Parts: sequence; structure tokens; C-alpha cells
Amino acid sequence: MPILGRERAREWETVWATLTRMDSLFAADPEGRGLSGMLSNLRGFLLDKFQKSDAGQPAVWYNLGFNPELIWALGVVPFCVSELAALSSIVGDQADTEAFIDLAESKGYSADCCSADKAGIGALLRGLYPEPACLVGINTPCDSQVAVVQAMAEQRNRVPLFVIDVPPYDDERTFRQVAGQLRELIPFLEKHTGRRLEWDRLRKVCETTNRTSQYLWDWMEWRSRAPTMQPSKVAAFTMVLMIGFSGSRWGLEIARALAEDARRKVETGARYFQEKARAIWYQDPVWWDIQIYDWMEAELGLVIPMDIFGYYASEAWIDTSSEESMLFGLARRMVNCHPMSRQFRGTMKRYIEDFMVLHERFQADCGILAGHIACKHSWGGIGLFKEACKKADIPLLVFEFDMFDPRILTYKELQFELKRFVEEMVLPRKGRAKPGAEHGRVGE
Amino acid sequence: MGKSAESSDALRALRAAVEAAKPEEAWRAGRPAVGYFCSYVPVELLLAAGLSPVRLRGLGQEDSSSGDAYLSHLTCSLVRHIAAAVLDGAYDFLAGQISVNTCDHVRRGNDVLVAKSDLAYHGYISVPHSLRAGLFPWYLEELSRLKASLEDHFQVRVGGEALNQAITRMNRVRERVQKLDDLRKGPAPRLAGADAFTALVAARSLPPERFVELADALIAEAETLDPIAGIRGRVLLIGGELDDPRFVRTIESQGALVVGDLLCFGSRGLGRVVEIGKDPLSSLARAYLHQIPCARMMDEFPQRWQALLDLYQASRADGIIFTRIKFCQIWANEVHNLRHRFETHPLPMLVLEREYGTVSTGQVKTRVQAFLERLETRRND
Repeated sequence: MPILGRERAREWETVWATLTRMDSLFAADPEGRGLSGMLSNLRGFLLDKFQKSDAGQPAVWYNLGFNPELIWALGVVPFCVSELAALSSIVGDQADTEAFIDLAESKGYSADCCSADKAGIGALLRGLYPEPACLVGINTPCDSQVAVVQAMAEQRNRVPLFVIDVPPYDDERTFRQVAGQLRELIPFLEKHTGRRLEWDRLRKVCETTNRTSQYLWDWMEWRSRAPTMQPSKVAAFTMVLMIGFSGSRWGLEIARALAEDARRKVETGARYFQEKARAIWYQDPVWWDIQIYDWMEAELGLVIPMDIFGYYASEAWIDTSSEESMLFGLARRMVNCHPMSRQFRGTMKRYIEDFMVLHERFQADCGILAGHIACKHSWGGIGLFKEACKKADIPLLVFEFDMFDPRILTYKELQFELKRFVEEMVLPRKGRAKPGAEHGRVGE
Repeated sequence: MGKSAESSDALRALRAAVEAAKPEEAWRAGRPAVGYFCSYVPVELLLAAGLSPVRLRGLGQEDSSSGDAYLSHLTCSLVRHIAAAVLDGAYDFLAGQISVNTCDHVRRGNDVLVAKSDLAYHGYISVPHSLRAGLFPWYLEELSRLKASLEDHFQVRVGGEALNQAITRMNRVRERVQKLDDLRKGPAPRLAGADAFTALVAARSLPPERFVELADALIAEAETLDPIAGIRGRVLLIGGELDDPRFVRTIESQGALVVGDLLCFGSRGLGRVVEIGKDPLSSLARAYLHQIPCARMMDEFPQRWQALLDLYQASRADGIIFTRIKFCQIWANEVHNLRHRFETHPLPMLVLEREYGTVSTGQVKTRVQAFLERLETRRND
């Protein structure tokens, strides 16, 4: 399907065609308004990118831990390395993501690294992103980012690179250190894109981010109600939103759609299954088939009210009163709110504390550590995490899988793990503790 | 039969230091020993504080199960072995340890040591992932904070004079490392790569003066040795963590000669002398941050590439052996990036993934044999 009247690479056209079909499908269904709001703004986001790229506007590449407000403010086109792979998995053809992964590995890109990055490099090697004016590389949330940035920089006979170094601490000094680097980044971006940053424009972008933040906090509040009425499969979208859309009107509209859909569903009170157990999904979502969350709800009565990728911490507010306060706010948000970067780059203390906070706030019965095999930081903390859960008397399921590659753990294997955990561990235990504790509103 | 280094007392002592189950034997002066994880920790700071720096290693532990229990099998086996060695008491002579945000594995190793070990002191520094000038003050401040933390815990004061003395002591070590490096590079080397590498690893756990004494003896003896015969290919060893001379010996058993390295435990971290000046902490920060960069330095692949080309030429190498420990991500993509450069500047390279603490001798030998055949074919074409 052509985009803006022009033929594009098959992978982009597949994403576009699926998005268009899904959007019209959900738009016609009152229950699908939230998803439709997400999909239509995702389409708007992609159209804008193609329009700007067709017009020859400079593109800036970046990796998973960076938020693109400064790039939006310059009026140039942001491209996260994992963008097409994620879109292919969620709303395109999963086979394309796997083909990207295979291509990267065939060129020496290590199988030990994150599939989000492998697939991103595969897409770069296929020439599916526009030529970059420059690259912003950040070391968060994990070592895989340290590796992928270097591989991105090696493309196209060396892409000009600016590194943002985020220290592993959570204090003011760290925020100031990162804010100082954002200050340094501005002349770098200006030089390579040929654009000049207008601070008033950045202020507007930051205000958009603040409005987005408010919707995300509202969304979390609605999702914390038991039973959770909005589907589990959207619980992880804060992460996608922050990486790709942060500071854009599409991001704002997606957050608004999510929050209003969650509110409406709570107020309406009807849903298609009986909630029997609630789990905090910690680590990575099953991007290669998010329908598995529907299966979990329908077959097991298991709901994910919140996911580590969905959790939006309270330190996101950006004070737009001055240049310095904006850079400080952007830095603090990138360091302490960006899902994963917040929990993965420091010590296990923050990682464990956040889980406990989520478990209590979202009234969960258990935890599911979906152990993406590339997440060495979480696997490295698994013993301490298990101990903390045991001490808090929280049932925990841990398994190895890959968030973008079902060849590591298949759909059936994953179903088996989840079913066994819920039916043999969580529900019997819950029944012993609180008989009749299900949150049912079926048919109400 | 010609004279080889096997009869060298100095080499035997260096090997003993590398293989020692408890390196505290090397530190009989009674100074508190402090372990450290990474080549970005300036050992001069510890020496100046009256401490005995010991680079943390697996200490020949075959069993890493105490570490595995906390860190999982997907964590770097070096870090798992270190954690196991500490938790099992092999490091019971340590007064503390210093960690770095080197990588995800080391960060989690530190978490386990902080939570589960009996060590009384835990230091930490955050090293920037870039050498950009704007990040230097952060690293300097981190060293300054580490110094204050050491002073506070060990009740010592680290003055400029003490720091300069420590720099002088370690510069003597660095000079010997350079000499050993030069011995390997020559047209007719007399010291096997495995023996030179043994000395370089020993430099991380011996007191500087003891290392200098043994290195001088080894260097003097090397002059009297016969050139190594039967070399099928001169190779460089590059990549991530390797502290096991047995691995180098296995490579060389097939006719390869390791004529240089860019390894953390090899000459990469100790190859350059540190300037002595009015502000020794700044000198140290500059020297350590600007060592030949580890792959964690995100914008420094071009510098590593240039260092490789320079060494390749200077050591008259025929090929490169790249090695890394399984699951190490920061070194993982060096292979991808090198292959990318090889498209316009081809160099032969063999990639060997390892687990720490074991040498898969048969597999390594087969791979090295095939690689050497490739080098010979290339030379003959």
C-alpha cells in the first residue's frame, strides 16, 4: 500500500496497511476507542515522518534510552533504531522483525545483544531508515545500548555521534550532569542538522510532554482500580510513547486516548472476562504477539494492571520557566522516569523497590518476571529479586524468553508457564487466603 | 635444544602469583588489601592510601555456584566466579572492594557483594562512557569522592606527595609492561606470548616492587634465550576480559605466537606512564580515562581500530584472535564493527567465545589450527 502516494519499502508498507486496517476496525467499535486513538495517532506520526523525509528534512537517529524532545523542537525527524522492528512486531509482520534479527547476526552482530537492537541494526543494514544527519547515543538502559550505538555510528562511513552518559545514581548531581550534556548536545544537533534551536519552541514541546505526563498519571490511576477494565495488552505502552513520541502531539493524543479509555471502561464497568488474579509484569512485554494478553485474561482470568514498561514515575514534571529548568527537567525525566532506564541502570535497590510499590498500588497477587534473555542487568539481580519477593511473600514466576523473537520461547511454551503458575500457584494460594476474592463484573 | 624461558625462576614466581589461590601471600607487609573490578580504578590511589590493591579474579575457582545462585547463568562467568570466590571465603583477606559501572554484569556483581559478603568496605565510581572533554570533570570528581571515602573508612590521609610517590611506583610497573610488550613485538621474539601475558596478569596482583624485580629478571633472561622456532603465524589477541595464560598457551601450542594484545589484563590498561605533576589526581584521571579505550567507551571504536592497526603493523602480525566471555555485550559488537571495517581494510580474524575458568582445549586447538592454515594460505598466495 503506497504511503503519501509513493511506493515505499515493503516492510513500511506492511506496517502502514495493517495500521490502516486496524484503525478502521477499532474506530467502528465503541469498546475499541482507546486502541483506535492510539492507532490513528500512530498513523499521524508515521505520515509526518514520511512527509518530512520526502521534503528532505534532516533525520536524527537515536537509541532506546533517549527521549526526542530536543529533536522535535529543532523541527527535524527523529528515528529510534528499534522503531521499525517494534512496529513490525506489534502492527506489521513479525517475520520482518525476525528477518532483521537474522540479517544483523549474519553480519557479526552478537546474538547475546537485545533483539530490539539486533532488529534495529538489521533494518539499518537494509537501508530502511533515511540517511541521518547525526546520531545521539545514550548508555541507558543497558549494555546492549552501549553496543548498538557503536554499531549505528559505524554505518554510512561513520555517522557523527554525540554520547549522553548517564551515571548509575539517582540524585540531583546526576540530573545536573545529564542536563549539562543536553546543553552540549544542542550545538552538536544545530551543526549537523543546520537548524537553530528556538527555546520557545522547546518550551512548547516540554509543555506537551507535561500534558502527556498528566494523562499518563491519570491512566495509571484508572488502571490501579480492581478489577482493571482496560486490556492488559496496553499496559506497556508508556515505554513506546516515551521513546518514540515524547513531546509530540501524537504522543499527547495517544496518552489522552489511553487515559480516557481507561476511565470510560471503569465508569461503564463491563468487560468480557472475570478477573481472578492480578500480576505485575516485570521486565519485557511479549511484543511478538500481544494477543497473548487477551488469552491470559480470557483463559486464566489473569490481568496485568501494570507493567514495568508502563510505570510512569512521579519525577516527570518539567519546569518550563527557564532554559536551565527545562534541560534539568528533561534530564531528570530521562534518568528517573524513562521505564527501564529508571530501574536498570543503577543498583538492584531501585529495581526491587519499584516492584514492591507497583505490587501494592496495583493490588497485585503475584509477579511475573518475563526475563528477556538480553537483559543481563535483571538476570544479574535475579537472586536478590527472588529473595525480596520471598520475604514479602509474593509468588513470582520467572522464565527466559525474548521480547521480539518467539524462537527463544514459543507461544505454547509461554502459555504453559503462565497457566501452570496461575492455576497451581496463584489461584490456590489466593483461595486459601481470601475465599471468593475474584473481581468479577461480567455482564454487569 | 635451545634455551627457553621454562627454566626461568622469575617466570615461575610470576606464574605462582597468577595461580595463587590467595594472593595475599604477595602482600606480607600487612597493609589492608582492597579488591577492585576494573582497569578504570586507579591503583595509585589505593597505594597512596597505604592499601594493597588486588585486581579481582576468579582465583582458579572451578565452582561458581554461590555466584550463580544470585547472578544467573546469563551473567558473565568472570563476575560469577568473582562473586563465588568472595562469598566462599577465598577473598577473606580483603578489607573491601571497589566497583565501577563498567557493565551490567559488574554492577550486579557489586550488588551481590554489597548485599551478601562480609566485606567491610565498598567503594564505587561512575566512569563516563565517552572521552569527550566535558565529561572529564565528572570522572575527576568521582575519583575525588573515592579518595574521600577511602580516607574516611581507613582513617588515612592521601596527600599529593603520597599520590606522586604511588604514581612513580606504578610508572616503574608500566615501563616494564612496555618492555615486555616490546619483547613480544620484535622480529624474532624470545619470549612466548603466554609467558609475557603471565607477567602482565601478575602485575595486577603483585606489589609493584616485587613485580618490577621479577619483570627485570625475566626481561634480562629473555635476552639470553633462543628465538622461538616453528612459528606458523604471529597473532594479536584482542577483546574483553582474559586473565588466564593457559588460554594463550593453548593458542600457541598450535604454532601461533601471540605478539601483542589489547586486553584489559594485558597491556591495554598499563601501557602508558602517568605524568607526575602538581595535581596528581588530575594526572591519574587523565591517564586512566584516556587509556586505550575499553569497548564500553561508546564513541571510541575509531580509536580502538587505530590502536589495532598501529599494533598490527608494529608487531608484524599476520592475524587477529578476538576473544570474549559469553554474554559480554559491550565487547560483543566489536566483531560486527571490525568486520565492517574489514570490508575496506581486510585483516584475518578468528573469534573465540569463552567461559571463564575453563579452556576448551580441543575446540580452541581445532579453531586455531584452521585459522593458522588460513594465514599460511594467505601468505603463500
